[in-house]
Amino acid sequence: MVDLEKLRFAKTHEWLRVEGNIGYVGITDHAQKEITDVVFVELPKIGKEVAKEGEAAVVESVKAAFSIYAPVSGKIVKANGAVEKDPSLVNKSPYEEGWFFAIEIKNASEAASLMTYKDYLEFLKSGAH
Amino acid sequence: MTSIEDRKTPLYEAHRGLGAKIVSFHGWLLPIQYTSIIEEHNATRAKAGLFDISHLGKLEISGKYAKPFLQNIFTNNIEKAVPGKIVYSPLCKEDGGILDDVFIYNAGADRYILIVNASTFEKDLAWMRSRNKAGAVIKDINASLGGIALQGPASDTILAKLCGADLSQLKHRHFIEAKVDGCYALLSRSGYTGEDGFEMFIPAEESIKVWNDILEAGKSHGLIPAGLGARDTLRLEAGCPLYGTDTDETKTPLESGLERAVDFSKDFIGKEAMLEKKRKGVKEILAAFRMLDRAIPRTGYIIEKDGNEIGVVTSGTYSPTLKENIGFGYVKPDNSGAGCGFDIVIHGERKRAVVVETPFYRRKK
Repeated sequence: MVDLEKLRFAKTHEWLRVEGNIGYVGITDHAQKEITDVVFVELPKIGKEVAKEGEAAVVESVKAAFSIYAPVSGKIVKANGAVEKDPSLVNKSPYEEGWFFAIEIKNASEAASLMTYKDYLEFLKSGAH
Repeated sequence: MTSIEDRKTPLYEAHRGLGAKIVSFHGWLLPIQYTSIIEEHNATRAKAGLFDISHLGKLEISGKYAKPFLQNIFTNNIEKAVPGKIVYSPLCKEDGGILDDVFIYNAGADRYILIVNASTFEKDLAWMRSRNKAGAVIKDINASLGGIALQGPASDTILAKLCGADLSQLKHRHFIEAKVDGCYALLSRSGYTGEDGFEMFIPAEESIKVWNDILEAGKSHGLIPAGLGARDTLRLEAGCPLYGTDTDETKTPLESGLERAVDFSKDFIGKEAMLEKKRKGVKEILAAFRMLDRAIPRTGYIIEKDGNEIGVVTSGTYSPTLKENIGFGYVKPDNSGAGCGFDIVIHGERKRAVVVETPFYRRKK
């Protein structure tokens, strides 16, 4: 099981799991419930440079398309082919099998400035999202 | 987003009780989904789905001037609506622009029930009153009736448990006035999903009881409640255009693929304009297409041919049954025939699509 306390969260509902200088990115359980049945995922190409809060991937439900933003700046080093093949992994396992891509983190302070899980739950409760 | 003006259907509390996600749809609070659009879609194709269709507008046209009035305002021939039969027709303006598409039920004895779209109800009513030179009696019966659609291959078996009428005698696009679950029902074999099934209009105050009893009777047959999300994917697969999305006042039946519901052998409002258009030729036609590249077309996306804009997507979705991406869009007539290829600009990239015949999905008989 993933330890949610170790993840960091963006206001746009992405999570970041840091392993060394690599950050894995996915969307939260709250976000997958809002998006509903994910039927298509478009991932960034490996080697692409993304900026913090820049669009990095697209997730589509039956009804609509949603942008996924990079929570930190850096270079894309991995893309999860499993979610391209089976987009429903995003709904079934948002924090584990449903991750989208990994970024080589340029600036560790960007990761540190994201919300903790506790902050994120407060953020959801506040209704500001 | 909901606003204070949104109306609740007679089934609203039932949807809340089922934990539905509620949205505002043309002024009505309706369930978009209960659990999952795909689950509800698949259940309707494989077993059965139960839909709230109370938002559809209901009008009664009666009196000895009813028929000439309907013949004048509708493009299709009302003579086809023998008692017990339902006829589909566009309702057009003088310039041929489509105000709505309507189901006309001939209830006999100069009485007709019209089922119109939720989004156009007020407009239709005002239009009909303004064009009622014949002197037909036009009655708004919207609030008095709730509506339920039971759709899918198990519909017959499920409804037979609650309805004494011989359903095997009820043919497609025909209706009866019968008792369902002990309540009056305007009951038809019809729908908007491409499956066999029934639509019924019942007294508003008894709607929740009938809804719950059908759900209970259908439980062992795989029936689940289904929302607007599944209704939209089902109708798209079935190749049914949606008024306000795939057709509107800027289009005539000639552009919208509805010419089969226009009878040029009789007179009707909009006939001259449509004949003129037929002579000159239309500039755009509604085409059904499927994606060759993996990408989902959505309303408003641009259609291109060799880099030039030739049209726009009006509806698009991932098709849960076909497991491919499909849509409708207006394109120049040269590009509208089955087999024609074009590109759709999706997230800034050109993705290939090909025109196909409708329906996308046809049920096995």
